[in-house]
Amino acid sequence: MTLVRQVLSQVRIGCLTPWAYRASMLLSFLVLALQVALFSVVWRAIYAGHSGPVAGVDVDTAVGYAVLSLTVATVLNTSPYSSIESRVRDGLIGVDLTRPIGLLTQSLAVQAGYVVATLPAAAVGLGTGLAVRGLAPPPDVSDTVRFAVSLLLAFGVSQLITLLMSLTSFWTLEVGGVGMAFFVVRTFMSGAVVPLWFMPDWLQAIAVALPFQASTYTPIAVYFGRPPGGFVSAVGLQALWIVILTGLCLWLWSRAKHRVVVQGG
Amino acid sequence: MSLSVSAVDDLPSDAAQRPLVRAAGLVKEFRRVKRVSGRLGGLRTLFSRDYDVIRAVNDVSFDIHSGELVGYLGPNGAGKSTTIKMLTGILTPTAGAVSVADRDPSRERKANALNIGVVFGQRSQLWWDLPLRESFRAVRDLYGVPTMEGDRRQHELVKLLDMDEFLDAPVRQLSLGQRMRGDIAAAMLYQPRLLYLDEPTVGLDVVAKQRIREFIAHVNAERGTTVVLTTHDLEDVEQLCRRIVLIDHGRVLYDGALTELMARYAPYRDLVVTLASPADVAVNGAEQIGRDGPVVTLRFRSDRVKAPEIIGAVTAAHEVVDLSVAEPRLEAVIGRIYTQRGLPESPA
Repeated sequence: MTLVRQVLSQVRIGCLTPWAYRASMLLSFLVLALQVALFSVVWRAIYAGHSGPVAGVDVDTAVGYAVLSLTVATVLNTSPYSSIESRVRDGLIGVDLTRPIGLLTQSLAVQAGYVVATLPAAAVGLGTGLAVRGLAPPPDVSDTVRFAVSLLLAFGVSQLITLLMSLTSFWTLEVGGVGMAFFVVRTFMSGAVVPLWFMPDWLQAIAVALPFQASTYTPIAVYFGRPPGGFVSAVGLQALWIVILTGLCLWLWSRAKHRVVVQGG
Repeated sequence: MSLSVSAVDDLPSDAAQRPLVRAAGLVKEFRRVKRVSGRLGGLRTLFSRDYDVIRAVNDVSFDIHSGELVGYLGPNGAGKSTTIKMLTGILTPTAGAVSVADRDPSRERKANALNIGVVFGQRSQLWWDLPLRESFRAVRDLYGVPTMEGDRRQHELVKLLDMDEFLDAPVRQLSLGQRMRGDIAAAMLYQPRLLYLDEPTVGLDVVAKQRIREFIAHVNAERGTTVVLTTHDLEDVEQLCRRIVLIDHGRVLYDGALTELMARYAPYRDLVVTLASPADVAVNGAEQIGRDGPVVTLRFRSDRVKAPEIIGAVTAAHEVVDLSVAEPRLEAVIGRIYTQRGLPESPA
């Protein structure tokens, strides 16, 4: 009961914080709408020079993938402004450690709040997708259910990736550009920009070996009825990543606890 | 007979008398990675295995009992913040033991958190982007304060610290004085037994400082909250603390009553007299330590001579226009200790 109340309070904080910068939030929605529209234009232009599908993918699927992937990535792959990284840099992590709640629980709750705050982006992305006639509903109900299951797991994977990355700031505080490099790798390898099925084999192999695709590519591939290795193994892989990432987070945090450096003071 | 006496000492009936905070032989060492300079220095530092060992706290012991208001003082880098961080459970001691309300803070960090309030003057525990009201709400939720009880306390604190007008403003828009009031209120919402204040008046104007001091005195006197105060503003200490613990180089230099420190290291008064015509003043029992035109400063040991005697002797020998007696300032004593980096010889 106490824990639920603690967690909900942090979800609330995470949900309210990005909306404190309303203009920036609305701008990010606008950017999403633009991206969806542009991607749909570009894919159609690319396909116009071809007759028939590319890599077994027809034009509607390619455009539909872009609409969904951009939307899902915008909602799930958030990078909270008040992540552990910035709190370590400002020495505020010391304040977090005086709270009667675990740091990982607190961080995950705040992150989840950010996702909730970004949910309107889903309406914007999908709305734009419908407007440019880039999205078709899934073939039947069972596909919708499968998509929902995979999306839920993707939420877990993406939040753990964000947490894992921010935990490394206990070590990488002095190395500039790590966050940026991570952002680029994550965006590309998750399949948010280009679906894995368009990637050359060697690149696909790398992407499949990394957890990022489980946070974006997998649920969307499920949506289009072509989950990698079949639905069960695709979802199983997502669940496996949740277990592995959880373990990694716990391990990193136990190491970090031993060398907590509170900057300054 | 002696056996039974020592047995009585060990009885748990003693529990009420047990200190709330106990630090015994606390040591904290930091390993600081030696920085690698040159190309990719940052990256190479990351993989470097060269360390400097810095001993920030070196065998610090003290007890603090329930209801005390203790000043924990020392120059910059003396080890104050490091000690506080061990008491709050943020840092694990390298050696020695620390307990707060019979808990080991770093082992039972979450349970300890419910007993303590921590206010850092330089850092805020409030949520920067959100209205102050939201921070209060979050603190009440985190510390499990029952709704009705929380409403009552918040109302009381808002009134006491006059926070009504900025309760709905985002914390980042508050003035430093307002933010400090918000921070202290947030720490008192769940009524911790122990309140650590780390430079709560730093950067505040005179009025804001006074308001914070009055509030600290209030919670200590009315609620019985134990307060450990770290500050560089010695007026905070003069007004609030009965006891001080003075540390430097990670060691305790002095632990005792403020009045005793003053009596021991500054057992004098200064008599400042303005004479009708400039002259040197020679009086038994006092020493002239300064003269600026007609204004002469005499210093005398207040434990040996009474002020009226000195005044009588001066007025008998000179025509006096004005006079005043100045108490020694804690600042002078502490300043001397800091510069000598040790306790001065007692002037006795």
